[in-house]
Amino acid sequence: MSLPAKQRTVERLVDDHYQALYRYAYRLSGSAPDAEDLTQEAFCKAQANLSQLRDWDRAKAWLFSILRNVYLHRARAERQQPCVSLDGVGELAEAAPEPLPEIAPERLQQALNELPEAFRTPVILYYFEDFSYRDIAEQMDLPLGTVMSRLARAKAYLRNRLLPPAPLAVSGGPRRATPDGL
Amino acid sequence: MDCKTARLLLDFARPRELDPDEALALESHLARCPECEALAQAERRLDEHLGRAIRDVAVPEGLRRRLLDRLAAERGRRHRRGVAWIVRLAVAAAILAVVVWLAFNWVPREPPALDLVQLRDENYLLNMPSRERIEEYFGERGRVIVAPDRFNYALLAHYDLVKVQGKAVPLLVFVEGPHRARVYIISGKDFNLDALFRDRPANSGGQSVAVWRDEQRPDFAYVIIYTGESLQRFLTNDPPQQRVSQSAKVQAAA
Repeated sequence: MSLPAKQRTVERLVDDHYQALYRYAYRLSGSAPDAEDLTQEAFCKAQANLSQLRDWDRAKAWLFSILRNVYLHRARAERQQPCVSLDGVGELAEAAPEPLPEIAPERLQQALNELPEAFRTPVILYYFEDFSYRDIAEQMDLPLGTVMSRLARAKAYLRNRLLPPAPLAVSGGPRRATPDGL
Repeated sequence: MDCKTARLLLDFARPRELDPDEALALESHLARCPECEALAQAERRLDEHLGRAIRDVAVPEGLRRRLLDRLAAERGRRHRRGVAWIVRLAVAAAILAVVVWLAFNWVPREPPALDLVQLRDENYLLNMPSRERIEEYFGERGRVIVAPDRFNYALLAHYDLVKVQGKAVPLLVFVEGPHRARVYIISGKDFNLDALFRDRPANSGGQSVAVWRDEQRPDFAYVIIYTGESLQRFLTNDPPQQRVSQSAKVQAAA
């Protein structure tokens, strides 16, 4: 690819994806400066390895995957902060209250930061809607069932952490967490 | 589908990701079961609520510009790094070439061992000379020649490839008393043989010049420079072989 063509391609990638990538980076790292650094580094790596992008429709997933690798690399180097254990969190959560209360951004980020990366990434990707379970499984190189299980536990953790329990308006035996999960 | 299965599906799968049969079964269950339908709606609301909150990240002003600037700087840096690599490679190649040149041309090397076997064999050739052995000697050195057969090879004192006007020419030196005859074996590939007979020089300084040609091998000629009044002293008394004849008379000597 010639230099001007490569430059145009990279600019298009930036235009199409920089906002989503920054948001993802922010949710992963929990800070604006780190998110901007991660976004810049991810785009630099993408530019250096542009020939690997064969299918333009997969560009977003490709960029997210690069960003996650950059993040994991840094996290390993920096020996990130301890995370909570999700051992005690069931996969099936309590029902949420009505109406749903506003979630304070700091509390949300704090709750996300508390999740181990292996749980945080799927839940962030899940809420970026365009990513299917299969996309998430591919990005994380995990079996589909593992992704679904981690996602359910991460969602349950966020729900418990961020929303007060609902008055028993809707409840029932099957809704409770089961000891053996799924 | 029963309530338990429906609620598990609500927890673990987004409706659009269920396979068509499961999606249909779930939909039909929700239509019949108000409790599960309420749970499904609550789940959707919760997902929307959490999703909105998670996506609600303000993108900093000017981020796009900063990204494009950094990428442009990175491109420039990579380009410069590429050029620097090419320069480094060129310098390394030049240094290597100099080192190799020095190793072969400047750094004193241990002189090679004298091959005594070869030296002995060459002297053996001089001690037991014959026309065939001389031809064999030059043949081994890539010079196929026909040695003159009228000479007395017992008088052969020296033979070698010598440079004659830029060409390597086999030379035989015959010595008899104070006289000597130097026989240059000239190939038609190196010199114009016809011109040899046209432009023969006059005698000078006690040296005479004769030119012989082998009629059966017209691509060779023998230029003989000798001292003394006649070539006869260097020739054998045996009858000459058929293939060599004197094509140019030894005029100069007489």
